Amino acid sequence: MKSSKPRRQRGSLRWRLMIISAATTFVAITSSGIALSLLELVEQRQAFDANLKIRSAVITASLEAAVDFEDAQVARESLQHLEADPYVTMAAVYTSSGALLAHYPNSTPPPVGVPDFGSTENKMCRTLVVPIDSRPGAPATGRLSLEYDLSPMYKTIGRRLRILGGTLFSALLLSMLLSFRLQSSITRPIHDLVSAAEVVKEKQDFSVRAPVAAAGEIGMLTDSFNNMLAHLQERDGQLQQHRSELEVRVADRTDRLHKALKEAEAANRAKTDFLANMSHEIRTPMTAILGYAELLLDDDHNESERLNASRVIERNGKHLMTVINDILDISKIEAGQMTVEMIPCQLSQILNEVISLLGHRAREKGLRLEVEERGSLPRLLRTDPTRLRQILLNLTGNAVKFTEKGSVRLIAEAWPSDETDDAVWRLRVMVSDTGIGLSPDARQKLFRPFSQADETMTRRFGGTGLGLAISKSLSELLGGSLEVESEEGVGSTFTVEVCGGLVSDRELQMTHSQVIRKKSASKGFSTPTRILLVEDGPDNQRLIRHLLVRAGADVEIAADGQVGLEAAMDAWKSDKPFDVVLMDMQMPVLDGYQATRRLRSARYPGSIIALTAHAMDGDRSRCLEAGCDDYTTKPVNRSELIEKIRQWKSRDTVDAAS
Amino acid sequence: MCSACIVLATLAFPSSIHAESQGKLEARVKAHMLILFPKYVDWPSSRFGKKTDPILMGVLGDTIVHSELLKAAKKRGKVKGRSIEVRKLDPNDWKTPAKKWSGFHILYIPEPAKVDVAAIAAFATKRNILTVSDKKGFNADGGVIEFLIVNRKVKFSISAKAAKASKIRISARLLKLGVTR
Repeated sequence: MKSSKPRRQRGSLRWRLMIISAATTFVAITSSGIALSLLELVEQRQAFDANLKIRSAVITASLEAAVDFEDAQVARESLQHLEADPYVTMAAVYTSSGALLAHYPNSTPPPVGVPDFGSTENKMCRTLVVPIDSRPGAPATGRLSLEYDLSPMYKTIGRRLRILGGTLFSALLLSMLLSFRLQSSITRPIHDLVSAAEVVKEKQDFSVRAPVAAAGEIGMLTDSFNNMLAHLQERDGQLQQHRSELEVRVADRTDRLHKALKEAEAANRAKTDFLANMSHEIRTPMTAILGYAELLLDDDHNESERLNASRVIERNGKHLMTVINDILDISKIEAGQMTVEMIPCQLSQILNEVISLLGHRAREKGLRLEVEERGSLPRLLRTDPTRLRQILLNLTGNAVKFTEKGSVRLIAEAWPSDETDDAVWRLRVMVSDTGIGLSPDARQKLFRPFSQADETMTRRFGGTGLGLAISKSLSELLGGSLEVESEEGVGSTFTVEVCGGLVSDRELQMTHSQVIRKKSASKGFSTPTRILLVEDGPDNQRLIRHLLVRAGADVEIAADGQVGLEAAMDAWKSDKPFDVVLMDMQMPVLDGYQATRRLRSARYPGSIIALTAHAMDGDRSRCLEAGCDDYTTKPVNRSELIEKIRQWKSRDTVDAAS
Repeated sequence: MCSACIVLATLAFPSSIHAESQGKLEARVKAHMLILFPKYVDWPSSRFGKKTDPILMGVLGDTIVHSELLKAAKKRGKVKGRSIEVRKLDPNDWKTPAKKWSGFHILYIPEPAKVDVAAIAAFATKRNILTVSDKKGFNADGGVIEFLIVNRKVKFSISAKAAKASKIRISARLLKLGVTR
């Protein structure tokens, strides 16, 4: 680092400029000096020679007569004129016979002997020997020897060279001085530029600008540098802004992520809690069922104890069913697979069913359970009665559950949703109680699945905590909503609103007959009924046969699809067909789907009702596709099953009659 | 002006010919000089027909100078593109010089000739003839060049006036060789 500094100094622009100017000046002056000197030398020599020629011609002319007449006196006088010429050091005149006639200067005689014609040069001396009065073809009258001293000429040249050298030296000095002065105009802006760049480098300060002093290339350089700085500054600002934006965004994201994480954790916790609750919910009735079933197996119990045990088992089994149905419903809703149907149904009947189902419990708690119909309700509306009943049962059940004293009221009203078109109606049922009510916080969480108003409530009141979530989703699926108003300690009012289509007169007729038929449902079959039960499970075989036999049917059992298929075909062919075939779908050897398909391909005309433990919607369509006429789920609801059998048996009868 | 223009020319006797008789040496020197004179003299152009016409030199009487002149002329060759012809003249013809001598360019009148020098000079002046003589006072008599013996050396004096009268131009270089008497 230390050694690089002087090197940089030496290589600096200042020195380079100085050296360049000095070198160019030196070369220019030296070369021109040498050229001038050479020219000078040549010219001097030429001038000297020319001068010599003229001088010798003049002298010889003046000497001609003197030599002719061998007049030494006159010759001497002529030579004496040479005194005016400083260059002549010696002169001698010889006659034609070679005798020395006269010489100059008088004091020093010339060397002995007659010199030859021509010009000889020796050191600083030029000796010229010329003829006097030379004529072609004749001998010269005489000869003149002239000795010239060249040193003054060389001295002149030398003096000029010295002057040239001096001029060169002073010009060099001057040019260096001048360049030293002038270069600052070049180097100063560069130095300014460098110092500005240093400041930028050290302080990272892009607001610095190099002073714009010079025009031309360096000015352009400075301008470019400043422009670059401006760009950098702008970029820096943008970067800063971007960074802060990014920070904000990152903080935002982190927050959201944190929130999402918390929610996920909460959901996870809720699910875990839910599973724990489910486990509890399933185990509790299970324990009762298993315990009382064991009790029943013991012989030492009287009839009333046995009856009691059976009732407990039934109650707990039903409760278990609700729990499992709830779980299935919520998983369907969560998967987006829940569908609703739109069929004509009687609104007042649904309300009455709810009242009759829960009336017993309400009475037990000493509550009044009332239904109020505001305005005139249409007798029939097109909606999903099962789901609507489920919602109302849930709401009313909750109301009964959380109310200690007072009443639970169901208020129903309906109106056309559009004044111009009375085909679409809206139905609203308000379930209000005088129970414990809900805190605003609890209200918020109320409809979320896997959460209950209070975890402790589950233990206090039981239930899966799914009912309200399912009800809300269902009411939305039915084109309506579910809302709650509540005051802690005063009571709650749940308002369910659904969309319903008004049923036309023709449909009204048809449904009416159905309803009438339904109304005539009793606990047994009025006519002899032959039923083929295709079922592999011995427990179910026994249970279902027991149910049907008690209802007055004649039941035959087939253990798998193959046997069932053969039995049905045999009965049909022997002209004693079964009124209804109950077909379990999951069986060994040949399953219900296959058996039904084969029956239908063999043009079996009788009614086939599918029995399946699969409660999903897809199962229904799969069963109907295979050729079944209807569909019912396991575990079997006794009255529903009997109703379905009766319905399909009478259709057969109608078909047969027509 | 006239008298001031009379000059003396000298010629040193070469030492190599010291042994020869005084008379013969003198004659040779004079012949040498006579042959040299045309080089420094210009005649009016009317005196020559062609450019190569010879310069005619007449010598009065049969003297040693005549033979020396013949030798010298032969040795000299041409002067200004012209040869020099030397002829012997009869001194007795001096009374009617117009007829025989008017074609000559130079007339040399040696010492022994018994002639009216002034009359010949007057004639020569009219005819543009350069007159040279050994006779004393020749310049005064109207002659152009007069040989003299000074310190045993042959010299000559030139009368510029006579030369001018004869319309003969004599070179300053020749005039310079003379010293004022």
